Amino acid sequence: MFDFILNYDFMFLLEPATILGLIAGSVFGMMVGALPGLSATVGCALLLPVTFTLEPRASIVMMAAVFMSSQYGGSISAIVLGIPGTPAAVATVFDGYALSKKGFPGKALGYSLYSSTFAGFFGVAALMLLTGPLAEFALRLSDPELFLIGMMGLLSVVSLGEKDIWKTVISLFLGLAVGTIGIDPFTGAHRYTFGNIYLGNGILLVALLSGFYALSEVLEMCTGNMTRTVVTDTKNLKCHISWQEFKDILPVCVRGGIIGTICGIIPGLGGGPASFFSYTQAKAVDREPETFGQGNPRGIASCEGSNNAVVGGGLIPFLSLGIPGTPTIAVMAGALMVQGIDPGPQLMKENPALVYTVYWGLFFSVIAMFLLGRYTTSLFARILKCPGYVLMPVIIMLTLIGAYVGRGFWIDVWIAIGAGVLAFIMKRLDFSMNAFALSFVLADLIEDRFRRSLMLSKGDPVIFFNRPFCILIWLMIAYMIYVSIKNNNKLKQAGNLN
Amino acid sequence: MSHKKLSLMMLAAFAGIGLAMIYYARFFRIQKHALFVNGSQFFPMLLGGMIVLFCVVSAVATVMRTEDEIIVIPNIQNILLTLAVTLAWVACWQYIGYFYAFSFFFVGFLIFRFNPAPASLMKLRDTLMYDGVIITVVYILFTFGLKTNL
Repeated sequence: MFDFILNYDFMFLLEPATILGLIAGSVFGMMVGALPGLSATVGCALLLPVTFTLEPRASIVMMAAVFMSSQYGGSISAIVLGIPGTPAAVATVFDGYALSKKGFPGKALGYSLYSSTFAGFFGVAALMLLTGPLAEFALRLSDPELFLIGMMGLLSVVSLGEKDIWKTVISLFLGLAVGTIGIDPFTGAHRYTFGNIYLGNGILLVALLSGFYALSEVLEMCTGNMTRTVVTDTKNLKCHISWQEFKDILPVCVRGGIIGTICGIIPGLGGGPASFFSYTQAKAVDREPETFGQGNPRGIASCEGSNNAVVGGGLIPFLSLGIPGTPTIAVMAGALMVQGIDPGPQLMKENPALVYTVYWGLFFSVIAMFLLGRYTTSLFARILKCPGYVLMPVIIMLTLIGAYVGRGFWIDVWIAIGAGVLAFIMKRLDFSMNAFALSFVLADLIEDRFRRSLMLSKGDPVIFFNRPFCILIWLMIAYMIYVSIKNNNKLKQAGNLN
Repeated sequence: MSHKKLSLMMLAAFAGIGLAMIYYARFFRIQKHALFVNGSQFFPMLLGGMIVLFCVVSAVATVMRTEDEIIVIPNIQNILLTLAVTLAWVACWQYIGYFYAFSFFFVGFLIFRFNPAPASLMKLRDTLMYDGVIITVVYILFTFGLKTNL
């Protein structure tokens, strides 16, 4: 269970590429987090071309550092300007901005940084302790169970909080459908390649996802005011809190860490809902609930304490089962797959050193985030002055370079552009980008397990229903659907009352 | 255009994709093999069918919905211009080469176009400064640092 300490060669972490990846990822993550409109997903997508030339270890550490630091980075603009840098920092605005307006932006940032750091370590601890046992358990499962687990991951994306359920389901099937393009691994038949040899290996995950998230964001920027430059007072941003103040927020941080880790493990939830759940819970049990929204430090700590724990929690199903629960992790999966590494239970068995590097890389990225936040926050606040019209061409360039560098095929660049336009339209019409992207990432796994299961049973679908673990997973799926319908009805009733 | 109408058009397009998936799946070279209970066409056909089915369900739900809203895309000319310039840049990069030269023009054009300041030498100077820095960083990162051939 403690192999990640006893049997890990820590020299891996001292390799120059890994150290550089950690530092660059942390700085870049904090930057994209601080800039409103850019998220960890876009940040990881923009870094993809850099990862192709790095070793898998260094590239995954860099991605993990981006993911971790962007969660804190998002709180910088939320606190200083009242504009959340990432969806996970939306709830931080309530108390963070209020405390900032009272003249204590440094204190607000301090509460955010210390709770983020605590939650980051909490998530990493959960990752270290739960991934191994879960992967070991997953190795005992067979194809029907793994297929159903993949389906459960997709269903949870559908059931959790998209606007139009039918359109989310369609997005899900479209993602799976795009995943079938290329050579069929079972029979070698070309599927939907229309004679194009470049499509033989399928659509490059990196091209599709980077176009999907980064280019659609650029088009979204075009619809707004690209000239907005936020001139802000960057003085008084030294973030620090005393030991007494930290002790006051500690219980909230622990609860936030638990909520964040659980939200990370459940596919489809992520940082945004985690910080809202945590905020609501903290308010419900607080001794002064009326002060929430007026600059209560525990309000800040509850949100920031949960969204950083999501990073570690989200990596648990990814490393143990191969299921990326959030779009950011789906992009990370793309970086690994390009290097020929398939995340999942086999990875733990065949390449434990890589998995342990993720653990420790994430651990040190929390430290890097703390040091950067502690000493350079005012510098990142200045980045908020960067106008949209300068950012936009940079994002387009990096996205398309990333799509090209992946395999050196021009078709990938055109696919990235097409994906960006499609995502922009889908978003406007309430189709689910996340369902599409996650199902595309899971398409191979789901088809592979589905067809293998049917081969085992000679075409009899009963194999998905007559095994003990399958029955358990079906019960979990049924419960998820029940909760989802119940929540939908609640929302409808609340809407009618309003 | 109304949200409802656009949704129906999009659903029709996706249903068309579903039908095309089913149609083209019939032409896959290896349909079925003795060893494989389900051939290469099985899963895509299943997905195509599901897409069509749910497009119909969603279309019915959309038609039955009473409320509607008008979709307004602000600054659509900016979007179209950005897309057109991007397509031209990629086409030049693909068919002519000279990545850095074309990128310099591409980045410079977008920065100059979307900077709201009135056209002046100052604005041109700022544009060239931003442009130069961006292209230099990309060169140092990709060509010099990562030895990528762009």
